[in-house]
Amino acid sequence: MTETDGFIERYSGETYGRLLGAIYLSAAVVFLVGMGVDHARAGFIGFVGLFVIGLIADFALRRSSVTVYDERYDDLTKKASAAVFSLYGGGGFVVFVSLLAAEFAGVYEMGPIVELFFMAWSAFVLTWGVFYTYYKYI
Amino acid sequence: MKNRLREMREERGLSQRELAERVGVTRQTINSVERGRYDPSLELGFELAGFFGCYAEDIFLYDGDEG
Repeated sequence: MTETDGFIERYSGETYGRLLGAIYLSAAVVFLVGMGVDHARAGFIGFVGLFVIGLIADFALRRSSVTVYDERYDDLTKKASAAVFSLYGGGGFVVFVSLLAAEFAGVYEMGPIVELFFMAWSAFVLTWGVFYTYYKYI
Repeated sequence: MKNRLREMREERGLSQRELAERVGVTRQTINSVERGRYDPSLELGFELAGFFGCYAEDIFLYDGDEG
């Protein structure tokens, strides 16, 4: 055990998990507040600074013997990812199929912004398909 | 899936944090398993069985009716 490990191990993984969450949340809050009070650049610098501090702390913790992330964290991450995919993938399918049907029926014309969203959604779903195929066969 | 983890942990006078450290997970994970909110992986199941010196099925009780 190194001296650094000894210092880090004074506190539990649970404490560090909360600390990391607070750092990342603070970064987001600083960014949004910066935009809200018309100091977007300062907010952005604060966001990057706090985010980098979080990443460094995260890196140090992953190299120590403290358990911050475990299989339950991975399970929750997978569930959240699946929920996001269902929401945007499924929701987008309903929206864009409806819009395309309306366009073919001549009652709606897709504007450039909507077309951009359609392309982004298609890329999102296609990327999911690529990774699904990768994990299925490789 | 039901389990006897809390009972077995308390029999040995261990806190959730101590058990978590022994098997390499967080305290919240042990708490979630004990409350039946999280079904552990086979690896963690066997890790716990090894720690308690028993079979995994002595800790985890499979209820076939559950989805």
